[in-house]
Amino acid sequence: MTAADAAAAPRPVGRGLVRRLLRHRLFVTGSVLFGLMLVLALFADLLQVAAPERMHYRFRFEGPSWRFPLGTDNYGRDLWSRLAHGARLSLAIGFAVVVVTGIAGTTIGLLAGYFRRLDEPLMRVMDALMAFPAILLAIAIAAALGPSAVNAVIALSVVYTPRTARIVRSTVLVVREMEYVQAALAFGARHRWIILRHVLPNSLAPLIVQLTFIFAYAVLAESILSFLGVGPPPPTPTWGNMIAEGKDYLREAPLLALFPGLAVMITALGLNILGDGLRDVLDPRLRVQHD
Amino acid sequence: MNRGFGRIAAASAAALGILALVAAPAAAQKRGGTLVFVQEAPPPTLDPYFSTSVSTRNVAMNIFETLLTRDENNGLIKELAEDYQVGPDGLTYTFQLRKGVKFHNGKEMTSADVKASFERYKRMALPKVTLAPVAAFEAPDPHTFVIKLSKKVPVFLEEISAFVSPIAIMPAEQGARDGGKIDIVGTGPFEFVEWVADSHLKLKRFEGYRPDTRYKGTDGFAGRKDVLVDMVDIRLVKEPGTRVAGLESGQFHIVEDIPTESAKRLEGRKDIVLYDLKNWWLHAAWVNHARPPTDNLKVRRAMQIALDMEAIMEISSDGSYSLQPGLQYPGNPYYVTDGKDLYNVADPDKAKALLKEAGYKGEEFVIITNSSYQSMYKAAQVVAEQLKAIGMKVRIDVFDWATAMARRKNKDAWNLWFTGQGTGPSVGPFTALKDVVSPQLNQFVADPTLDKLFQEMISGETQDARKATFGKFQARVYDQVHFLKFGDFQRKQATRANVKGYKPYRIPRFWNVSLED
Amino acid sequence: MGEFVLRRLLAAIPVLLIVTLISASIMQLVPGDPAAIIAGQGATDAEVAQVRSQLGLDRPFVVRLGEWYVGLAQGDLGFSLTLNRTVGQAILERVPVTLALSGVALLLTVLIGVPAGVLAALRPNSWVDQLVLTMALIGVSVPNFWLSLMLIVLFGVIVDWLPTGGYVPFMEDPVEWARSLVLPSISLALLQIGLLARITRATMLEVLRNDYVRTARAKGLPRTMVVGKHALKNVMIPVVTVIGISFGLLLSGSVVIETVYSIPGMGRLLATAIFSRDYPVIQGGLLVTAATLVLLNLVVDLLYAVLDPRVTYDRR
Repeated sequence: MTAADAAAAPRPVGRGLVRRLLRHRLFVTGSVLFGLMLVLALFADLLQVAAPERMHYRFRFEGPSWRFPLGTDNYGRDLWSRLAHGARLSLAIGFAVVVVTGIAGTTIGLLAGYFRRLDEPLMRVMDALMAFPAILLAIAIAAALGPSAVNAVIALSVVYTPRTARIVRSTVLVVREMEYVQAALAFGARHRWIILRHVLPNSLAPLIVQLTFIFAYAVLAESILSFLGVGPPPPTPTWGNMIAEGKDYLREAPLLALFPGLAVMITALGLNILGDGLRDVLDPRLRVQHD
Repeated sequence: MNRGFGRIAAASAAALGILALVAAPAAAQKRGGTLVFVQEAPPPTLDPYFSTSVSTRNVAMNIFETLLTRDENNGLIKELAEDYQVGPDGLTYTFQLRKGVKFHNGKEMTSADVKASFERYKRMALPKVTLAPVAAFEAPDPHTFVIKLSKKVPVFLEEISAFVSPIAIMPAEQGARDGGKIDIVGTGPFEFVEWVADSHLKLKRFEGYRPDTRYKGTDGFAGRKDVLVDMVDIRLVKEPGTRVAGLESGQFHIVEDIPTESAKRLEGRKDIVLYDLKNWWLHAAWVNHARPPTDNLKVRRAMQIALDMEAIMEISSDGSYSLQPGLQYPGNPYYVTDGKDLYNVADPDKAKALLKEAGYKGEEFVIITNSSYQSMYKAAQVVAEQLKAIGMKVRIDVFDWATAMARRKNKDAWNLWFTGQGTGPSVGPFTALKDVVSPQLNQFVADPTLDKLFQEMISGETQDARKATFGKFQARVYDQVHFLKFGDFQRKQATRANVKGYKPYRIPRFWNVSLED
Repeated sequence: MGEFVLRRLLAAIPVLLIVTLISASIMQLVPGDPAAIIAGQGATDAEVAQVRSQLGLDRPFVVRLGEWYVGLAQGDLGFSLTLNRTVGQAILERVPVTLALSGVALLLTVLIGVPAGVLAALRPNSWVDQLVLTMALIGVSVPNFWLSLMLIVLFGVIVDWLPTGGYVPFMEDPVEWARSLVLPSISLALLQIGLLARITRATMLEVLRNDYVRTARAKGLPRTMVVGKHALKNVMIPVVTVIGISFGLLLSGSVVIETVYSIPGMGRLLATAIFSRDYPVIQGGLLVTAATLVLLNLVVDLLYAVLDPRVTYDRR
């Protein structure tokens, strides 16, 4: 999918949406998978069987049992409780990246697409950011700022903003050439009114779809950052640092890395399916999926 | 090479869909073959003057030699020096050099080379302060080298034989080179071949090497060194899982560091031999006396007596450790146990009471650890849990090693800084604990008593006198909680069963090691 | 065409300049001192200062950066702080490795992704289609470093047909070279295979719906011929785009894969350089990587013109 396709004829987000979404099989499947993880995150405190950072020194590397549903890790901490609390931070980071990327990407995309004079400098910087290998850029930024959940969000947002900005910009370019927008301009409408009334609503559909995928990427990327040692610090678990901590015991206790990895995968899978579904419904021109 | 052919044969067998065949081993020979040695970290440089890191020494100690070095128990032993005498005034050290020793470039080593090497060391080496008391280096004849000191240094020989950053002898023409910009040419049994950054280094047998016939076999870094393998391939493999997998499949011959959990699993395998390298590493944390709440001795004491060293060491080493209070390793000439009453007290209730008495009001306690060394990362988490349990408010900052080192300089940034000392405690108390002595790195608040003890220690005339002072020094470190020692790591090493003659030591020695069938 | 290429190359210069400025400034903000790492943790301030001055790191950042640009203009990327060689040498050693890894991964991507997408499109909503779509979705959702760890467990414990780490140069032993690349390239390619299969399927569906294909079918031309001759040709354009993007993603993804499998490529060089604060290597390596990505985009655009005569880049 290229940005140009995205711009063609987006349908504004509107009424009847919920009904259309609920009838859509992909959307429902994705929502269920993602919803499971969301429940885990929201009710982690209720679902836990022990405090996630509580160490049971005499029960290291326990297998699954009634007391420890998924067993314990190398510190004797309950894996299930950590997985649930990990969902909280991992999803929170993913969501924060979506919000920051959405705002920053939309702003930059709107400015670049709408005001021709800003286009060149803004997009050159975006091009430069995109010319970095994404993960290296994130590592460097996370290392510069110091490891914390907030800084992970900043690092990942810097990486994904250019992609969002591009999509918004290309939509804007199409929209501003449309007849009714040109007409409005001719009648002396104010820029702010045009942007809010015409440009933004039309950009919304591709943006929402893109942000769903960015959510998925961000959850994956957070796990990579943590794996490389620049993610949020302990003791609060994230799936990424659970995998990182489990990698030393791959042969002896593969479950330590297996479960959090599966959690990342299910979340990303849910979001990707959800994104496909949203795209079908919101923006049929972009459809790559079912007929 | 036969081994290479075996691998191809196995590979094609696999390609044909036949299940894994173990590669056919090379024909029987005690001499020859390429030894594949695996270490974790890439060396920052191969210039031994310019780094104190183990990964540099791993390679350099097989290429370079020194006048004096350390034997298996860390005592002095002669290497390139045939003999030496200390003048009656204690200011003149005369070394007779071994004759017929050749550099890898074919030239014979003379006193001019030794002099140039010492001069370069004094000019630019990291521990150049070692040679600061030197008034002059002299080379009266090609096989005699003289060092004249401007003041008496009773521990001078111990210092120049320490191998933290060894005074390796290099050809004289390198005397003017800057740090890290040398050609890798020494007198050792192995010759440098190539270094592909982050991947591997290759060494080959130095055909011009003449084993030191004064000795029967390997003794520390010295002794009789016979090179049995043709080549050594030093692979740099960061992931422990990959190191173990390669050992199991026979791609690697010696792995210097395998996870304890893997070692437990490999026990009993006929094709693999496991080794324990005891006293590999002293696991500890620096304590900051400048930042609240650890500016208060009672808080420091509460923390000290709260900690359960067994849990900390068990988790950070996965069971491969020993507990003892000494800041030297047992068996070392300077080993003492002073301060033992304050080690591994593990009494959280008493700690809680003391904390209350200290007037602790929930000030944030900051731990700095790093993600580069897993044992420090793990230990910090356990310590944090134990301190939370006595009611302290703890924050863990995890950085990469470089950032952690940079943050250490900031006295307002941390209370506990996680570290470990490997070589330091094995070469004597003079280098190991200088960090707590003014005006050094971690002593933001000077402890005059400790400083005085340190001066007394290094100027002690006899080893017994120095050892006695070291006992007082160690007691003071415990009493003021300058340093929190958790325990000593054992390192798990493993070789393929066909590797013969390998003896674990601080630094791997590739001589006298052979590859059998 | 020539003018277009020239224009694009000129446009790349400011982008690359910004890249070098960004990377230099970020690394300047990263705490940590390469001299302290080289000197070791027991080194005193004086010792560290000594290393710093020997490495020339005691001069102001602006001066060092200026010198770097002067060197760059002469084709000199500087000397590594930790690798005992020039940055150019270090990069030249690594580039072939990463190219081999990404190349093999790209080959897998095309060989699996395109046929899978075409097969799925030929029978929409059949079980083949469902299977391809499901696999593709899983492919884009698996964290590749985690997949690598799981493959290492699988191939290290359960079966040991394949090496689980390390790299053997092609010139040394071609068979081992190929074997050492199997697991890493699969781990690396999975995401791209998923992407490519989805795009190929979507494009193919659209093409098959087009009038001329329907006409051809109506005229009674055999299905295989219609697909082979008309449809596939039109599918090539978006596929080339995706392949271009994929190659960029592969280069980026290799950072993690090379670390997990201990493969000495560009990605690992850069990751290690960041952790050891080897500024010249970071600067040079990122510049080379960014330039590669920019060139790659240009090549993709040029391929459009070759594949689709309607696309022209010359100004009329």
